[in-house]
Amino acid sequence: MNSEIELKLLKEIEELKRKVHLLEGQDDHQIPTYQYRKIRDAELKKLFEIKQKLDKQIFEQWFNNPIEIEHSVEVFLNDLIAENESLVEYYHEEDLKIYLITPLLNKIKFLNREKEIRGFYELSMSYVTDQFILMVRLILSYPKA
Amino acid sequence: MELNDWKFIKGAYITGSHWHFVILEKLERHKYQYFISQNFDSTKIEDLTAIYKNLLFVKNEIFAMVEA
Repeated sequence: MNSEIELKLLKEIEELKRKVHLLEGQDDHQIPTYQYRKIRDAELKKLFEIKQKLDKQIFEQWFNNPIEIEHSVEVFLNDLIAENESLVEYYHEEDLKIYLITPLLNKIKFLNREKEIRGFYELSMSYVTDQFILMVRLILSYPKA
Repeated sequence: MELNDWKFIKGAYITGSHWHFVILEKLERHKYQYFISQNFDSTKIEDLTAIYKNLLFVKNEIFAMVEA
């Protein structure tokens, strides 16, 4: 092969390799970026030390709350079950969001204009350090007070 | 939690009709432990009522936090 063409091809190969490395987050000059939906357990555990604890006591105060619900809410909840119980096993993720989760969250109503609070759907947030960037998408969140 | 410097955060994950609530506790920077609750079946009225109350508790907590 002609040496000029060979040299040109080698340069193109190097440039392509560099672009692939960049896309895979392997560029030496770039901080790796991870998306929470795609990150593997092993990778996450390299970034954070995180362990499950089996203690259920921590839920006591949360679950044993003295909240009373109104009759209208009881009716709503019974209707929600009646409309969905025979179909839920066939629901895809989006069906579940539309038919079960969203009606429940809307009934709770996290919106409060006076306090400037609302729920967010699929809000993108990123956590940046000098070692890595982690992107997450939140289903429900609220602005920092 | 790293951004807002909170120590605990409450959440849930849902698989079909089954809900599990989760508490994530920050021990120090980049070090966490988490707790997973028992299963709540949202097709059973007792469990769905509990799910509703648990979510309402979180809402009340958020509103109180903002007021403080």
